[in-house]
Amino acid sequence: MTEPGEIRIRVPVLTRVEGEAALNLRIHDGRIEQAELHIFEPPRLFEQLLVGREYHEVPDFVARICGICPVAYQMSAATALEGIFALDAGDWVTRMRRVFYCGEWIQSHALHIHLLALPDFLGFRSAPEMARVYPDAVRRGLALQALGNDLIRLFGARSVHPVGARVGGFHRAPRPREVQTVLAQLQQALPEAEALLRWSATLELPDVAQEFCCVALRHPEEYPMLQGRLVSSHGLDIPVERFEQVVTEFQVPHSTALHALLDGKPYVTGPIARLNLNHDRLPPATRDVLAETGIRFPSRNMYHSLVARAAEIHVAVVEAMRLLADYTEPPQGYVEPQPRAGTGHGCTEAPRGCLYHRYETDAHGNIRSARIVPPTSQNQARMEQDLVDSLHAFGLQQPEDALRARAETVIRNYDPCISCATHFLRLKLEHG
Amino acid sequence: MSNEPATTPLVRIAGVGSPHGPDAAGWLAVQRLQETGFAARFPAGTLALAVCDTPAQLPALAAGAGLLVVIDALASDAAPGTLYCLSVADLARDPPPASSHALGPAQLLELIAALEGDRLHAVLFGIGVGNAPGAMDPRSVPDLVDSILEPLAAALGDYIQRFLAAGPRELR
Repeated sequence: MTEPGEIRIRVPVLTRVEGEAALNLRIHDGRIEQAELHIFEPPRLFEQLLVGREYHEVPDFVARICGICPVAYQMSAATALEGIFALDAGDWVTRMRRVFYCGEWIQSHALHIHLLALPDFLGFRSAPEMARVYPDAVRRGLALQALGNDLIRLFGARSVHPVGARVGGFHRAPRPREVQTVLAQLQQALPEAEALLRWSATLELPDVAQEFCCVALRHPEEYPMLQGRLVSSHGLDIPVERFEQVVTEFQVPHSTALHALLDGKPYVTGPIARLNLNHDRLPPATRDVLAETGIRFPSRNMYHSLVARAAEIHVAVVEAMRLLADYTEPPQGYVEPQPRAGTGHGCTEAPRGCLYHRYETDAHGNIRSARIVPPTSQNQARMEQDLVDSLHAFGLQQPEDALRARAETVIRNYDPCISCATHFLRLKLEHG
Repeated sequence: MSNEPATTPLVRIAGVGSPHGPDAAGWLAVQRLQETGFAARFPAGTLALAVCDTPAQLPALAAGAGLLVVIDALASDAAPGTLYCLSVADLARDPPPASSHALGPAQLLELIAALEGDRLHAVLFGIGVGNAPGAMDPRSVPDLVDSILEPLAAALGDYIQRFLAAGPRELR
């Protein structure tokens, strides 16, 4: 029952939903008093599931955490465990892992841009509705997503929950003819990736500048993916081993996913943070196209996340082409680990941002403890802060449908992975 | 995609799922149809069967086809093995529980229908696998698929024959 002066809005179950979340907003005297992203899925307890398992099982276990970014989970885990075992996987593995990761960026970003985020910015309720008006754009997105899946499959044997990665490298090195096939696809896709980047910059995105702290990896030479120091726009510059010293995770009553703060404050991780902190590490081809669009990074407009994703698709296509151009098949695709006791840390750039893993092993390489901090967890506090800032900027006097739509757009813009979810199930809005 | 069609056949059948658990039902069904020579019931080159490890492969598979049949496990309160034939309109009216990561076969079929328009008719053949985690013993999925193969093949065959005889209008 609605009380006098109180307005509630409910969004019915949406078909583009995976994961379960809700948004509660309370507005009183023209101020937002409550803006909570409610995540109520049961905890999945992966960290405890890993305890007692053998080290070589970890990449396949953690791949199951996410169907969109399993590569990120596998790579953060593998690098953490290799750190314990003092294992140098070598140049071939390092290069091919980057290609593997490029596949994930392409498929994840293409999915989010074209099927999840774009309807918000082009004024449609769903991707199919949008596809009737923008069929070529959607086809381009689907083709890029398929290319990303093919790249993952090249090394992982399948694109969802790939099984090809292992501690030390890959179970199987692709054959040169398989690589040539994918390389030809990449060459064909490069103009499409460029066209997408140019097109993304023409979209009429909300023009809202905000102050936010960006956190990402930074590599001495490359656009960050698998390696680097953890840096922020507020002066942080540390090795990933110190992640837990600066990032504090904590529980809030309205979420089964932990929140995270950096030095006690919300922060952003993900494409816009990566690009803001690493625009000077873009491949020249991407830098040139981005410069021609007129969108400047670092950007304080969170909605430029969409442009950042398009830029990272271009980065991934360019990088995969570069790394596969002189491909040679090694005698084996991995270096055999020598297990030992210790603690290792891995942090890589998942499509949605920094993905941190820490493991402790015994002398046989069995897992004694595990800690995993996914990017959506890190972004939750910032998402709630963004809701407050964005809705104030939008105008709280706006009709409730418009407020609801803007609130959903704000959250979707982060590409949240609430068990990789993208949409709310309920919005409860109270005006007092 | 584990087996691309060699030509551009008019009818494409895609088994969607994973190799493990109840989600393997659609994938296994297509593999069984391949093994039992289902395509030979139709003129050579008319029909191709494929298995997909992600629904995202469906748009590429649909390109150039006149009929796309997706076979997938379906969460359902009915007894495991219950067969469903759902059009895009059925799916839009009463969407099944969302598949993983925002876009499942139902949503992809709707998207494909939007992209292809009248050039393509798409339909989902669902195999009920219970409606809760653990509702089915994963080890029993191959036996379940074997038990429904004959009625599934009959229903599919009838559907495809009607499409080939009269076009998509007959199926609407």
